[in-house]
Formats: sequence, structure tokens, C-alpha cells
Amino acid sequence: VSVPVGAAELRQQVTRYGPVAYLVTVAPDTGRPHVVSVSVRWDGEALVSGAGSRTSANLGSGADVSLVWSPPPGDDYSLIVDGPAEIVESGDGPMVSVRPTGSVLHRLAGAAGDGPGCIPVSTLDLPPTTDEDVRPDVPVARAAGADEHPNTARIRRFVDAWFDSDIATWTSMAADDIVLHMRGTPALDGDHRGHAGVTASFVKFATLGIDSFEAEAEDLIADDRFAMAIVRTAYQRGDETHIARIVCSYRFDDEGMVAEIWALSDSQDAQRAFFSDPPPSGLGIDLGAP
Amino acid sequence: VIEHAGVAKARGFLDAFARGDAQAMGDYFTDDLAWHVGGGHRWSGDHRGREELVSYLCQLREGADDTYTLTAESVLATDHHIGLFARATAQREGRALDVLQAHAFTVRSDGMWGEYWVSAAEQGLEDAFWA
Repeated sequence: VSVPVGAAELRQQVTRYGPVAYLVTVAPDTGRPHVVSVSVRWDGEALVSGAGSRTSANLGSGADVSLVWSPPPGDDYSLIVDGPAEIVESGDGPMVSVRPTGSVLHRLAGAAGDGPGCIPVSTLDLPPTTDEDVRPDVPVARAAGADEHPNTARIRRFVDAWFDSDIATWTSMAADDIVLHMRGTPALDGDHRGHAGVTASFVKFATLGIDSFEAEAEDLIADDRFAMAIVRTAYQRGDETHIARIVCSYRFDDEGMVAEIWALSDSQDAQRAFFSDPPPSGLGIDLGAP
Repeated sequence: VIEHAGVAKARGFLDAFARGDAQAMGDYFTDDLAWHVGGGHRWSGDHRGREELVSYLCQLREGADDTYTLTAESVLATDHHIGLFARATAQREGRALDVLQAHAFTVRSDGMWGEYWVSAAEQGLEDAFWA
């Protein structure tokens, strides 16, 4: 039994299922399937992952593939995304780029219980309330699966720019008088104001000796005035690794620019310890602020 | 507009806080939830446990002589998280608090809240208030 996943929901579902999926290709000459575990991320409208030699050979100049995510703990549905794929070159070597053309949630065979076979994606966990419950004085986000608020896409682009060290895009979406409240990173704690102040904090972060930084947005929500991103982060410095989930909070100004940012880690002491004693010279990454 | 159920739950939590109803506040959370308070004041840090969280919430009210008020400015919800932006105001010992806070709740598959974060945009003001 499968549940169609609408295009508007696909990003949310991919976020929910996480970055690890199985990539299924088929050898064009023998028809032999090849399945590998890959780490997937969005690149514009495409899902991209690394490409091994056999996957690259199977794809040739282009072929249809499937990406399959296992159910999250406690869930009975796999996420399957189909689409044409091609090999693209990147700074990290050859990558598989998949343009999703179809996606479903597929119920596990033999799943326990007698739940409905088809479940609207937007109500997997929580049923919507009625209009009578709505208070007109408090703005509300639309339910997951309904039309996404435009600021959700905006904040996704903003967060992606942070992940990609794309300072130009990041600052283009920031108000001139943006305030970045930093805490938990002793060398940078305080309020960084304006494009110049924020950029200076990025430059300073690059001196903290971080060898690598990975981040994945677990969830994004927004309305006219505010947005929130739940982000998984992993920092590496030498033999030290710091992994944390961070709640990043954003306030928009009247023109829709990001005017204020603050964040809170789920492991504040560990974060403070990790960043409190950096080596004297940083190998540096380019960016490190929410 | 069909409102997400998480929005109503967040409002219910705020109502329980406003009443000082410890039982009702605790009903939203799992027994072993992790909870995180930002800043550098007496309650800041990473904690665990529903009883401890409810105790903290009650102490916020008692510590400010029942003047501590949370007023929702926006409530955001997906099936997995709730974001509550609220203005916190309070008075104690001649000091006044007026800050914008972000509250985040992780929603488990059974609808209970398994993790909670709260931090203020201008955290220094909150730290000074509780000093």
C-alpha cells in the first residue's frame, strides 16, 4: 500500500527521514540491480549523493533510479523517491543527481497493527483541529503538508547558505541592521550587528581551528514574523568531535529580511568545552553561525 | 485555514502556565524528557525529567511573585516540532523583564513532548533579571 507524496511535501519528508538512503541502479547491459547506501542532500531541485564506480557505470549518460529510506523508529512506512539521474562533477568528485518525479510512502509488509492503509501525509501524527479552535490574535503556521509558508522556503535558503558557506547569499537575505546573538562559543559570544559585524564573526570563527563542519536541517517552520530551524550539527577538530542538535530562531523584519538570530544547543556544556580552548592557529572553515 | 493540532497544544500549555497548573503543564511532557534553558542564570543548562521541568516552571512564577507572563506572538507547528515565540514579562525586586523568547518542543509519535528548549533573543537581560 502506498501513499502518494506531493511535491510540496517532499522536502519535509526527506528531512524527516534523514540523509541516509539506499540508491538503486540497474546495469544497462545485464539488468543486474545495484544497491548502495548513500548520504543524500538537496542541491536546488535535485537530490545528490556520492557516486561509486559501479553506480556511475550503471548510470552512464543518464538513467532512472530509486532512492529508498528505511522507516524512522516507530514508523511503518518507507519513503521511496524515483526519478531520472545523471552523474555530475563537483568539488567532491562525481555525484549522482536525481530529479524527483515521483515519491511515495510505502507501508512495510507485515507491519503490526490494523492502521489505515492510506494515511494523508499531513496528518501522520496529529489530526488538525477545527476552525473554531483558531484564535485570530495569534498567527499560526499552516499544517505540515498544506501549502508551505513562503518564509519556510526563504529560511531554508538562508540555512542552506550557512551550510554552504555562501556568505553572499546569506547577507543578501539579512537586514542591514541584523543582530546575531552568539552564545556558547566563548570566543564569539555577544551580539554581532549589521552585515559587517556578522561577517566579522564568520571570519573569526574560521580561526577556531575547526577541521570540518556538517549540518542537516531536521525541520523548518516559519510564518510572517518568525522562523525556527532544528539543525543537527557535527564539528570535528583533530580527534575531537562535537555533535549537537541546535534550535535556531529567526525574526523577520517588515520587509521579510532576517533581522535577528539566536540559537540554543542541546548540549551547552559540551559545546562550551569544545569551543573554549581552540588551537592557536585555525585550519578554519568559512562559516560557523546559525 | 486549518490549524495544526500542535498550535492548540502549545496554547493549552501557555494557559496551564498562566494558571500555575503544575499538573496540566506536566501532562504535555514525557517522563524522561530532555530540556534546555539558555543563558547564564540560575536555571540555565541541560536538564532531564518532567518533575524537574515542572518545578522549574513553577519557580519561574514564584520567583517573580506570580508576575511572570508569557504572551504568544507566533506559534509554528509541524508534525514533529512546535515553535512558540512568546514575550516574557515579569517583575521582581524592582527589576523588570521584557524579552522575546523562543520555545521549541519536539513532538514524539504519540503526541507527547520529548524535548524542550527555551532561550531569549536578548539573553543578557534575562540573566540580569534572575541574578
